[in-house]
Amino acid sequence: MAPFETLAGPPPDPLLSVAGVTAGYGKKRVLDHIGLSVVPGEAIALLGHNGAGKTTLLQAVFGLQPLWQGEMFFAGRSLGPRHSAPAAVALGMAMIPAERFVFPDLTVLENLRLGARGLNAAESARRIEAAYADYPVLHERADQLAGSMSGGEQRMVSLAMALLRRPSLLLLDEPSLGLSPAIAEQMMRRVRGLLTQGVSVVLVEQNIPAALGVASRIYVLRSGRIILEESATAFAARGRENWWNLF
Amino acid sequence: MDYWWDILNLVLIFSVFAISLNLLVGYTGQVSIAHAAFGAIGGYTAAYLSAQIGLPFWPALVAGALGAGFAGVLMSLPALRLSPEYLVLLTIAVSSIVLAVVGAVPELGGAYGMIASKPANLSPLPGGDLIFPHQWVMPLLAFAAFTYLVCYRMGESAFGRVLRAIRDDETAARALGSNVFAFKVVVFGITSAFAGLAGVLLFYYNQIASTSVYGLDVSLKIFAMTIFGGLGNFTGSILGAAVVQLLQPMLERIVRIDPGQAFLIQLVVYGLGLTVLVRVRPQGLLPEGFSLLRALRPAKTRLASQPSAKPISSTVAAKPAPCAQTAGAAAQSSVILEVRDLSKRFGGIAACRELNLDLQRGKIAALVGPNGAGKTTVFNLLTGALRADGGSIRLQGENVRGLAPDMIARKGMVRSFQNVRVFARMTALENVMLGIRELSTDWWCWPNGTRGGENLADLLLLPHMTGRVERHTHERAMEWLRLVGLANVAQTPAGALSFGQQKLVSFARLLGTDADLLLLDEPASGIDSKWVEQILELVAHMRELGKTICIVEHSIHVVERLADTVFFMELGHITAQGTIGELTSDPRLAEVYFGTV
Repeated sequence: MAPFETLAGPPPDPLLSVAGVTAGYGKKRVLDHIGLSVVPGEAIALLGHNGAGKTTLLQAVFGLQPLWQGEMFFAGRSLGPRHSAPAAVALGMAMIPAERFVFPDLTVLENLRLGARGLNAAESARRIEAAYADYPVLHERADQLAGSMSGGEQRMVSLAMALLRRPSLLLLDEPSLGLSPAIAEQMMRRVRGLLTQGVSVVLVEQNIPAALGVASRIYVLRSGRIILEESATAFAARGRENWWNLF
Repeated sequence: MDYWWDILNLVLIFSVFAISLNLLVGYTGQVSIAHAAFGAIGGYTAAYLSAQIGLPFWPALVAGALGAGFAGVLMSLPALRLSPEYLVLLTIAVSSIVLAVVGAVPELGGAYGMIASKPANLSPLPGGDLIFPHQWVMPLLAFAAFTYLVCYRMGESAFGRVLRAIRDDETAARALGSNVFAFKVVVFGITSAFAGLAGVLLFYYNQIASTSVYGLDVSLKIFAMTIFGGLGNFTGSILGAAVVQLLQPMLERIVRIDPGQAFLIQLVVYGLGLTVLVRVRPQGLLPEGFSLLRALRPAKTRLASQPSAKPISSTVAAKPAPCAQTAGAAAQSSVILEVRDLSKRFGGIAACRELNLDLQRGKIAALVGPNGAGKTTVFNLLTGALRADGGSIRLQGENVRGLAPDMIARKGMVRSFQNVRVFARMTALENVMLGIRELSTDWWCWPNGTRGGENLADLLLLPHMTGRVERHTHERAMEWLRLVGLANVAQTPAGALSFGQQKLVSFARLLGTDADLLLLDEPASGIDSKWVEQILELVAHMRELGKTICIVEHSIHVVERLADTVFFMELGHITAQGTIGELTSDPRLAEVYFGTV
C-alpha cells in the first residue's frame, strides 16, 4: 500500500480498514478485492464511473451488503461475517445515502428523534438542542414535514440526524447530488468542519473538484476494482483533462 | 364400485381445470383464482340453453366453452398491465362477481342453482345417455386427453416459449419483439374456455349447476392441484388433481374416518402438504421440463451439446453468421436512424429536449455524459418503452415513434438491458430462440407476425411446417450461441450462468433477431474482468457483421475501445459529437462531466 504522503511520521492506526473485499448482487460481482483504509480524522473520497461499485462499497462497510470474501476492521475490531447496519451504528458509524435520506412524511423533529434512537430521553433532547444550535433552520422548521423542505435543507436534516449519535465515521453518498453549486459548497463546508472535530469521512462524489476540496486521499474505482490511490493534491495536479482515462 | 368411478370422473374433470390453469399460471405466470368461476360461466350457459331452448349436449358444450372464453378475454383486458398481487385481487373479484350474479338471477335458479332437464347425450356419437358414473369414464378420459394435447401443444412449442418468456420477464419479451399483450389475451381466453368446458362437464355430470359447485374454494382447490403437481408440467397437473381429489375418499374409506371429520382433516393435510411441498420441493411433484419418457431415454432426446467454446474470431471467420445483409445494402442510405427534436418531460423535468441524433450504418456510436443526463431515457424513447412527447424517430426511413416496443423490435431496432434481463428459468438456447423468427404479413400469423409455432393457426393446423420452422430456429440459435462461445451451456438455465455469460446470452439473443440496429445499455458493466475482453471483442465483431450499434457506457475506457463516434449528452440534450479524443480534450465537457467546485 502506498504510504500516507501528506502525513509526517508513522501512519496512525487506521479507524477503518478493508481488505480483499469482494461482493455483489446475485451473480453480478460489483466489488473485486477492494482494500482501503481511513485514519481517524481523515476524509477519503471514492471516485469512479457510474456502476464502478462506490455505493456498494459504502453499503458493505455499513453492513448493508454481505461480503463474498474479504475482511473489514473498524476501531481495531473485526466486523466479522455477521456485520449488520445496527452493529455499524452501535460501533460508531453513520451513513447518509444518496437518495431518501430523510423520512419525508415525518417532521424535522421526528426525523431527529429517529437519529437519536437508543439514547435516553434527556440525552436525546440535549443533543437535539445542540443540533439546533448548529443548524438554526431546523429549529425554525422543527414541526414541518421533512419532505416539504428544499433539497439543501433536507440535506441539513440528514446530516444533523447522522451526527446525533456522535459517530466516529461518516459514510456520505453523493452529498451534492441535486444541489445547486452554492448549496453544495455549503454542504461541503459542513463536512470539512466535521473533520476538525475528529470525525472520519468516506465520501462518494461525482463532482470531483468538490470531493477534492474535502478529502485528503482519493481512491478511483473502475468495474469494482481500485485502480488508483493517491493524495488529493496529486490527483488534482494531474489536471482535469487527464482524469478521463481513469474513468 | 360406482363410488370409485365417481372419484375417477371427478379427477378427470378437475384435470381439465388444472391443466388449463397450469398453462395460465405455470407457463404464462398469470395467477388466477377465478378458474372455477369461468367453469360457472360455462356450466350456467349450458344449463340455461339446454333448459330454455333444449340445446343438445354438444352445442351446449361449445356454447359454454365459448362463453367462458369470451369472459376470459374480457377479464384479460384490465389484467394486462397489473402486477401479480393486483391480478390475484382482480381474479378474486371476478370470481365473486360471477358467483353473485348467477346466484341472484331467478332465471338461473337463484341460490339453488339450475337442475338439468336431461342427461348428457353424446349423439351423434354412440353411447346414448350418460347416467351412471362408469358410462362417463371414457368420454371424460377423451376430454382430459384433448385438453392435455392442446395445452401441451401450446405450452411445449414456440408459442409456449413466448409464454414462459412473458412469465420470466415481460419487458424483455416485448423488447425482443413479442406482442406480450396479445399473447396474454389469447391465453386468458383459451384457458378460460377450457375452464368453461370443464364447467359444462361438471354441470352435466352433477346434473346441476349451482354456485357451491363453482365457488371460490373450488378455484383455490384447482390452484392447489396445479401447485401440487408442479407449475409448468401438465402431467403433474393430472397427478395434482388426483392427489387433491382422492384425499377425502381415502381418509373416509381407507383410514375409515367419519366423513365430517375427514373433510376437516383433509384441510389440515392440504395445509401441511402445501407447506412441506413449498419447503422441500417448490417446483411441485413433477418439475417443469420433467418428462417420464425423457427420463427413460436420456441419451436420445437430450440435445447433443458439443463443447465448442472456440474464441469468437476463429468461429466467425470460418462461417459467416446468418446476418440480414440484404442484396440492396449498397443502395441503402448511410444513416440508419435519424432522430429529430425528440423530447420527453417528466412533470417539470425535461429528461430529453429537442434531441437530434444520426446513427451511421455499420458503425458503433456511444452516448456518454454525466449521471442523469438522460442516456437510458433516450434508449427507452427509441425502443418505445417510453412514449415521446414530440419529435420523430426514423428507422431506415420509416417513422417508428409511437409504435409498441415489440413492433419496433421486429422492424429492426432492439436493445439490451443494463441488468441483462435473461429469461432465468429458460435455457440459454431457448433465450436465443426467442429472438429468432420468420416474419410474415399474413393475417393468421398474428400476434407476432411470424410463421411457425408462434401463431396458433400454424401451430395447431400445420404441424409439419411448424416443425420445420422450429428446427430452423434451433439451428440458428445454436449458431449464435457458438458465435458468443456458449454452445457448451446451451441447455443450462440462463439464471444459473454467471453474469458475464448472461450478458453473452443476451447479446446472442439480440443477434438472433436479425435486427440491423442494436442498442446496448452498459455492455461491459458489472462483469468479471475475465469476461470484459470477450464482450468488447464481441461488440466489435457485431460491427463486422454489418450491425449498427449504439452503446450507453460509463466507462470511458470501454467507449474509447469501441466507439467510432461519441455523442456527449447533458441535461437531455446532445451538446457535442466527435471521437472520444476530441471530446475529452474539450475543457468545457470535462467541467460538465467531473463537476465544478
